[in-house]
Amino acid sequence: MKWLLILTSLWIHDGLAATLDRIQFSGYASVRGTYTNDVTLDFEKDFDFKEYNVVGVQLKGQVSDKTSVTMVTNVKGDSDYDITVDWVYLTYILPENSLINIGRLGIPVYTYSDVKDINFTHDWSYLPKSVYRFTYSIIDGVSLYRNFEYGPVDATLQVMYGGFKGDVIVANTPSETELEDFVGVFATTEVFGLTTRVAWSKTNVDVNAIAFNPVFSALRPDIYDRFWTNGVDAFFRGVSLKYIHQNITVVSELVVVDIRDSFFDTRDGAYVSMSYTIDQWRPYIMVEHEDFKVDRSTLTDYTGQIPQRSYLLMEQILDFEKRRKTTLHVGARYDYTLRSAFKLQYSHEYNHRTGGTTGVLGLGIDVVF
Amino acid sequence: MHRLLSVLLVLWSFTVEAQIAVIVHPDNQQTVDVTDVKRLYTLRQFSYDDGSVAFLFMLPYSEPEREQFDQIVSGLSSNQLMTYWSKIVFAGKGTPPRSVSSVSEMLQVVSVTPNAIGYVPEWAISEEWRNRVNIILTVP
Repeated sequence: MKWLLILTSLWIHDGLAATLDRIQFSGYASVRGTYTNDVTLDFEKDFDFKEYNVVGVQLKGQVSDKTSVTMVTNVKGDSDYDITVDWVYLTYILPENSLINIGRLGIPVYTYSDVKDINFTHDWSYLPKSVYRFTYSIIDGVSLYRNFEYGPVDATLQVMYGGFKGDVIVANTPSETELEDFVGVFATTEVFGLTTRVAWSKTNVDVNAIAFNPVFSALRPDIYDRFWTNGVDAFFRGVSLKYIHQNITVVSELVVVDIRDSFFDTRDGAYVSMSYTIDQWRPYIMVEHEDFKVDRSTLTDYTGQIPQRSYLLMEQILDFEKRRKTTLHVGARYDYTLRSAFKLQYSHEYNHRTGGTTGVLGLGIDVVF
Repeated sequence: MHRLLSVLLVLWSFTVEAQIAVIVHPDNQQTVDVTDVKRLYTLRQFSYDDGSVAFLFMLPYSEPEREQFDQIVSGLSSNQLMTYWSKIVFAGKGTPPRSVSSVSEMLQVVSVTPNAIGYVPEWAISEEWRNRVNIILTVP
């Protein structure tokens, strides 16, 4: 909220009336219905017409030729349609096709992180969850972004620094979370239809999981520190490829999240998708896979020193976080206008741990305006 | 025979794409080549050589030159380019072209906006407009 006040003040300082004609509204919306034959981590059983609905508005005020202020607000079904101000930042265009953003910004760890709520920007009904599962998506900080050109190669480089303090949902309860010293470097190159992207980031994470406190408070501090994400370093590495040749588009992404000194072990996720454009239709097939490992050493190393109730909770957390599954998606996108797309997708999920399978049918409309 | 030739001529006139003229304000004397235009409209370049920020304009989807121009600058269809722009714009990494409602509005807007860049079919630029906009290049 502090950022909002500062940036609004800047705007008013320049003369609100004078800038009214320089305000640009743009937005996006997704309306989606899903049906699944079993409960999964990401879908409720039976029909759902709420979880994946979103309406967002981006308000951009052009303060001067090179300076603008942007605010993005969202109303989402999964947060009971509460209005949230997700991004608020000031942009200044620098020489050499560069720009600097300062304020509350999205963290672009994934290829589609910046537009994770804007389903119009990709072919699928929703982003592949095996990869797009990292909870923290915003920081208060600064981003430097630059475009380069080397002969036939187009390249971009983005460097970010900042932190975040706010609530993140853990076990259905808002939990105070702090990201300190977030540093991220994100680079892309594009040549002859092939876009390559690499991403790296590091931050210090501290989560006060209020829902677990009654049980965790019975733990010895050293056991708690070793188990939970209490001031630990988290690393993110990702690489993605996108190739467009005539009517064929292939997209793939591989990410590894490594949260050190806690029960989290490495969390790998990957997908590959291929689509074929026929006029306004784009049928596609996608395979995604996730492999989240957990570190059980706290339980084994401190056997007998952990109260029974805490031990059971820790077992549950480890069991919940450990997962290995593969999902096959087939679907199609139909652009029925320049700014609206109809999407149909069927997903078949196989859980390697339990041997169980789940089917999810999704139907929706995505628009930008 | 004459009738057949006439029919073929009419059909040919519908299939041949118009030359597109890229236009800027008459006071804008920047050197802009095809590569610059491509980079501007794919939001990889923000400014002209002198550092002034370019304001991009585009024709509405109803004008046939829109699809033609989108294909030239990006190699993508208008639908695909709209998706591409959305990804950049909502990420805060660029500003998309503003849409005008017609060819005549494009000429009008570019003629009065110092850093504007736009495009129209070359045949639409009458003698009168040639004095009020600067044609920096034509593309097939």
